[in-house]
Formats: sequence, structure tokens, C-alpha cells
Amino acid sequence: MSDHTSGPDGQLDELDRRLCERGARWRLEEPTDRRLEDFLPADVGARPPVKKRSVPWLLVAAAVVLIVAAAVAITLVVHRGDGQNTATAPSVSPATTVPVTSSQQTVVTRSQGLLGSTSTATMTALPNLVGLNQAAAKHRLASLGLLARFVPVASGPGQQDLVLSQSPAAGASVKANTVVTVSVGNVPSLVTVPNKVTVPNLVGMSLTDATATLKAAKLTIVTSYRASTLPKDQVMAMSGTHAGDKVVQGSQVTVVLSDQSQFVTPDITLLTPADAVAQLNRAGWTGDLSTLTQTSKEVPDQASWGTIISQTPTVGTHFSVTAPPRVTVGAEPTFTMPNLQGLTVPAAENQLRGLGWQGIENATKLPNTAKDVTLDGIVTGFNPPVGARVKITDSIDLSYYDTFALPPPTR
Amino acid sequence: MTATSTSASRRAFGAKGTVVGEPDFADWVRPQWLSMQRLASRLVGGRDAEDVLQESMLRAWRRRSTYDPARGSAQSWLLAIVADQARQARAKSGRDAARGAGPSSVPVDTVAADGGRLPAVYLRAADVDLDRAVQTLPDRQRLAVVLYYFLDLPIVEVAGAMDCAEGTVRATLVAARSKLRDALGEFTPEGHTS
Repeated sequence: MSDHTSGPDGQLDELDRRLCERGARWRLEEPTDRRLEDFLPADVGARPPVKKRSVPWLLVAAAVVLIVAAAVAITLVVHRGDGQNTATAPSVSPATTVPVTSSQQTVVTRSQGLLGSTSTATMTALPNLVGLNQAAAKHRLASLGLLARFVPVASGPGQQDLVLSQSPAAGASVKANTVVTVSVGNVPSLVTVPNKVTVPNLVGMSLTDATATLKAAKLTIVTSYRASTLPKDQVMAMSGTHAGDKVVQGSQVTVVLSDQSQFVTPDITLLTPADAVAQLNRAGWTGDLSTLTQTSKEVPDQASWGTIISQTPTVGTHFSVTAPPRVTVGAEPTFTMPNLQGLTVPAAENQLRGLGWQGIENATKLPNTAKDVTLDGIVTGFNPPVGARVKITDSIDLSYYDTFALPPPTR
Repeated sequence: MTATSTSASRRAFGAKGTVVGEPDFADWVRPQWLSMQRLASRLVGGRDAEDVLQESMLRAWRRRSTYDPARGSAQSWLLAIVADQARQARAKSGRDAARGAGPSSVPVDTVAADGGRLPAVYLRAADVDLDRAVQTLPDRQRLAVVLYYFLDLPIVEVAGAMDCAEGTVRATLVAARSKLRDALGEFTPEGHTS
């Protein structure tokens, strides 16, 4: 399979092209923003180059022990006059327990060895450390014979391990072995976990806003709809994951959206069906008068006739915008027309009143041509006929004989 | 670029034993800094790349008096140091991992290890295959491929960084491509159609 001739066969050209393309793409994607200054060795420019690393560290350590012992002895024997030395000496060991590494200790002690034997009062101008990373700051201080105490300070994600402040300030003149307090950025752990993000609160947002918010948070949106009276596509709730949760970047967040398939039922009692439909349409209902399910009920109260006296759903209920609401419309009571034939007019009236009739009587007197006074005042005809449904306010026609309906006799 | 950096380096590093100050050294390295970062990122990954760069700078600083402009450009001299440090780092991590994770675990996974920085474009599947195949190459072949294709260096610079003749670089690239074809062959549809 493998050929060692570099002949330009198709496969070679193809692979060559792929490698070139891959390399070009990689050069675009690969971040190369490291600062050269952060990687310069600490002793660049400070001292002539050290040719070899093979320094007998055991001997150096022994010398250090001797020098420290001597210094302590001198301090104890003479007096406590030099407050700076006695003040820093004890604080050095606890302060540097965490950050100091063996290399730093050796650098410090090397400068002690160089300077300490001749003059302990050498002053050094403190460099500006702000912006360096922790390692670079440590190297820089160590190269000057200074000690570092690193204090983590909460900071933004771009400032992890970067020096944010220093004490004493840059330019201050300090003695060798002074402990310099250096604040370094420390991003809270939940943020530095590279692909964990906090779920934002989306409730109340529109679908568009929620999608954009999630995209900004590097999350993906999953939608589900629920019947609701809220505006369409408004986020009603979050399902599964909730605001404030820490989730892996790219996770799906399910939001429950309103499909606006419901409306809040208004009060439509005391309205006519036509007015009620208008009211319902304003609230979001999509039906019309023909979709309204009406039943009528006879009620004595004249004000309720023709208006809605009860409604289903009740006021405030969430109801589907397409379903038919049911209403009961008030109606005028009726009664069945009795037979009034042969009754006297007052008796007929009494009977009708007893049935609830409240209407007007149209009486017609018929001339009693037979002059039979026993027939006077007897109902001979009426309308509506027997058995008809009569509303209580309908007028009723009656006719009866009346002798005196004749023109008066000429005397 | 090569010409200017060479003349600059002659000025700064002409006489042996001259004490060179920090600004000169930094300025001398700076034109090559991008290539150095890329090489370190490509050979090892993430935090290891930072260590390799730190060690490389230290080594360059200490051995700067041995640099000879007549033998090659500053770029190839510095890249050779980075490559050597990367090789040592890989050998060390290889020993640490007891041949377990092996060399294939390096730059493809640098996304998570690199302080949360994400590449602007996610790796495509084909790129992942190719990267993985490059990872399996022997050290010299891999170095040649990285310098030539990924750092886009001319053959003469690759030869300088690898401390060998240009013809050797070409032969190494041919061998590397042959090995890559073996590794990718079955998955490359173009290989059968053309």
C-alpha cells in the first residue's frame, strides 16, 4: 500500500490538500495570545546568564541554614533594634507556606548569599507586577530577593491568575526578603468549570427573547405548549431545569409556552345574547351568535326577559376560545288559554288573572238582539283560542252580549 | 521576515559573551513568538504548552550565546528548542501515564484543559480523524508535518528547526504522508473515486 515514491498520484494530492487546509483552519482557530513577557525567564536582564544548572543544591541549602542560624543568633544576641528584620522574619514562613516552591526558595536564598554577607540593608525598587501572571510575578520577585504572598481575589473570568494589585506599590523601596502581598485573580470555581453555565430566568419572556437569552448563555431551547390565556408564545414556566441551575453548556432547556387557546370568561349576565357575543369576542372567544348555546327559562321578573340570567363557564373561568359557552336567557312566562265560553266577563277575568295574566282585555260588546237579559255579560267569544300558549302580557279579545249596547229605544 | 530577523539577531548576538539586556532578548524572540506558541500548542496541549514555552524561553536565554546566525535563522533555532522541550514533556507525560493514555490524548482535547477557551469553530469530524492520525506518527514525522503544514514554514526553515538537510525533510514528509494514508485510507472516499 505505501509507496515511497513522491509521484503525484491522486491520493497524495488529496492528502496534501487536506493537510494544507487543516493547517490553515487550525491557524485561524488556535488562540495564540500569550504574552511573551509572561514567559521571559526571571533573570533576563537582571544578571549575566547562568551557564549551567548543576549547582550543588545540598551545599547551598547547608549554607542557607548556616546563614539563617547566624542571622537569628545575631538578632537574638545584639538587640531588637532593627524592627523590620524581626517583624518580617517570623511572618515569612507562614505566609509563604502555600505559594513558595523549592525553586523560589533557592532563588531567594541565592540572593541572600550574594547580598546578605556584605550588607543586609540593600534597598530594591519594587517593580510593577500588575498584569503579570502568578508564575511570572513569583519569578520576578524571587529574582529581586523578595518574597511573595499571593492572595486570591474574586475576579472576572479573564483575570484568572493575573496580578490585580500589589502591596507595597510599584516603585516603593523595600529591603531584601520583604514579603510583598500580591492579589491574584481567582475566578469562582463554578464559573471556571469550563462548560457549566447558569440557567437564566425565562418566565414571562416571549419565545423570541427566551431563544436569544438561551443562545447567549450557550444553551438550546426546547418548547412545549400548554393551553393558557396568556399571550401566544409567552413563557409560562420552565420544565426540568430552572432559573439558577448550573448545567453543562449546550444543554437543552425546556420552556412551557402559552398557545393562547383560552380566554378568561367575562361576566355576560344581564346582557342580551348579541351583546354577550360581542363581549366574549373582545375577551378572545372566536365564536358568534350561532355557536352560543342558548336555553330559555321563564322568569317572572320582566327586566330579565330576553337577557342572560346564567352562564357556563362562570366569570373568571379559563375557557377554550373555540368551545361554545352555554347561556340561559330569561323569557316571559306563558299560560295555556282556558275555555271562557259561558263565563261572565268578571269571572273570565278572574280566571285569567289567576293564571298570571297581566295583559290588556279588548272587550267587544255585541248587541243583545234577543233582548234576553240573562245573556247579558256572558262571554260568547274570545281569542286566542282554547289551548294556545299565551304570554302573560298578551292582550286577550273577549266578546259578550249587552242589551244596552243597542241604541237607546226611542221613547 | 527571515532576513530582518537574521540581521537583528546579528546585531544583538554578534559577539560571544556580550551581556544582552532583557529588551533586546525579548525583541529578538518576539517575531518568532507566534510560531513558538503554535508549535508548543500543536505538539503538546493546553497547560503543558505553557510549561514547554516557559522552559524553552529559559533554555533559549541560557544558551543564547551558542546561537550562530550562519547555521540557521533565529526562527529555526528557537523552534528547535521548543520541539526538543515538547519531546521531553511528551516523554515525561508518557512515562507518567505508563503508556496508558498515550500520545493521542493531546491537542484534540485541549479545549477543556485550556482555561475554558473555546475555539471559534468546532472541530469537524474529518479534522478530528486527521488530527488523530497525525498524533500517531513517529516523533520526527509528526514534527515535520506540524512545521510544514500546521505552521506553514518553508522547507528550508523546517530543515533548520529539525537540524537536517532539506532532502531529508522531503523524504520524512513523504513517509509521513504514506503513513497517514494508511491510517486514513479506508475512510477517505476521494481515494477511490479519483
